[in-house]
Amino acid sequence: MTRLRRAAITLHAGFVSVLPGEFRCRYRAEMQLDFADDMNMCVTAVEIGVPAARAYGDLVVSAVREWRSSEGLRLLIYAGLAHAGIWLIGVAVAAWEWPGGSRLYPVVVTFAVLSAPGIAVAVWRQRLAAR
Amino acid sequence: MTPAVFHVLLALTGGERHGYAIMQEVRDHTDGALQLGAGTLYGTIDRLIRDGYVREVDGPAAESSRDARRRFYRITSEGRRALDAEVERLERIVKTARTIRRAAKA
Repeated sequence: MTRLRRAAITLHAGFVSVLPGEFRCRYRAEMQLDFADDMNMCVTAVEIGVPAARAYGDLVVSAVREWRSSEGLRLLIYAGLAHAGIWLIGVAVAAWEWPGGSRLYPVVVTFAVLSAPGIAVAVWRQRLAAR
Repeated sequence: MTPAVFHVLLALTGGERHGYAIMQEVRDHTDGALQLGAGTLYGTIDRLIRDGYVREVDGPAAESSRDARRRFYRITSEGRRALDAEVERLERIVKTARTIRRAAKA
């Protein structure tokens, strides 16, 4: 049962990591401690499975709620729009003649080259927020 | 006021508590009808802190090293006022409902 308990706790940590950065940094330790305490009181597989499933469901719903109220969702929408725009540029570029006649290659290269600075800035911002 | 906010504030009227104790207190208050998950609980606490209804405090001397890693929360006077107002509002609703039901039975 210890294995199952450990697996449930590991999975819980995975669900916690879906929460927005600032909120996650502030409450992650307590959430994991509370969940581990709950799990330590469980003996059977059902006793472990039911509260664990409830906790995972709660974390998914909370993640949606916290992302909605955070700046993250707006950034995600902007990033999505920017990526769609870049993809379209790639498709337009692909309409020209390219060596080897590949249509996909220029789309992927354009996408990678143009989105790389955006991804780098997003990762940098996330690290700053996590400090 | 959502049920989660109401019950978290209610749990804190008994004194400062850490998140896990609040969770257990709410479960006991409601006979298990309301079981706050960690995401809902800490999301609620976060909003209550931002609204000035709850604040983080130094907890009592920790009984265990696990408790030492937990943060304690206390209801503020604004929080008490909001809770009192909500209790009064709920009392008025119950009173109105009883009056209507009594009139319907008569």
